[in-house]
Amino acid sequence: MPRVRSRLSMLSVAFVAFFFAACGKSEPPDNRAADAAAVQKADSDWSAAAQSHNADSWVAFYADDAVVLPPNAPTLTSKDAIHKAIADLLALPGLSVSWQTTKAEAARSGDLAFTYGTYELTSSDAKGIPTTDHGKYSEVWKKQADGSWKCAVDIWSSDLPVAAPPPAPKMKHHAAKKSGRRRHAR
Amino acid sequence: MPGNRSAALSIVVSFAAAFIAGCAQTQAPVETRKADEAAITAAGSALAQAAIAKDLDKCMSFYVDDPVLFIPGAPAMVGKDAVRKAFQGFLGAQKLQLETSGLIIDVAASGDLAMERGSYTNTITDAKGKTTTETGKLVLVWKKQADGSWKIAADTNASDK
Repeated sequence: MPRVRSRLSMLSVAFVAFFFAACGKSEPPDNRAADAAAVQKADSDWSAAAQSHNADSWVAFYADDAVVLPPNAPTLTSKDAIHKAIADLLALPGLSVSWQTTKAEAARSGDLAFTYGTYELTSSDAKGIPTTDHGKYSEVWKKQADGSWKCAVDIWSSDLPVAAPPPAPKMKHHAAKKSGRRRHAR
Repeated sequence: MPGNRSAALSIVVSFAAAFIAGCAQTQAPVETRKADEAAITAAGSALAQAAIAKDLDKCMSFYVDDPVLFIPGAPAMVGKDAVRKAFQGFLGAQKLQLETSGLIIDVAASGDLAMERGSYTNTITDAKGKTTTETGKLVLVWKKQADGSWKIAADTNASDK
């Protein structure tokens, strides 16, 4: 009998151990800090990749179902449309663009994360004079099947006020007085 | 001995049952996505209603303690005071008509983080009675709070023109 009992208790111990080991495994570890760091690194790698002015290497950071919501333009919902918009951007004369993450955070489940930060963009106008824009962006990231993080949603806006209406009120008056035709045109 | 064997068997069976029940619970957490989406939609509507009612405190109650607000034509507003100031200006309008459309919500499997995107149409009548309509796109990052409510951590807008 003692032997049976000890066998029984051994069996119980084994089951309890198995129970904890197996169930402990199904409780996912908290990888939020590591995920946030990975997303921040991807965002910074992305800005570095943008320096090559190559649309393919830029677009590689977007998920296949990414959505880009640029200011002053319609939402881009296909990778082709995104590629074209990025190629157009990179084709701007004298272009220089970079960005810096301010914050990166990931969900407990490690499938969704977000970053936001600031960007700076310089390009030359028609006369070759460089103009600089700066602003802020938000990105939503999704972990891919291979464990990498890709940007699923990208939105930004300029810090600069919308360009003031060309003629100042005083000028407008002056011009209107000077030329009736111009007033008519307006 | 046969008695002991059956006792052992019953222990094994009960452990197996406990194991399956216990693990099934941790492996398949309760699906809260639908409820989370509904809660976020409701919070978004309540925020718009609070803005229309010009209830600044109520508006701010839908933001986390360290939110950011990114609107076109102005630098990033970081922190609750900056966001509150921006809202104060926004609510200074004579009349606000705020509409959203095509909203899509994506909730993390863990139900602690969510993203919402879509389009907005803001019709604003300023203090002088002049009405302007602005259309654009929005992306909101929502975070579930300790009390189960959802609050906005990042509010980004990009106007269409």
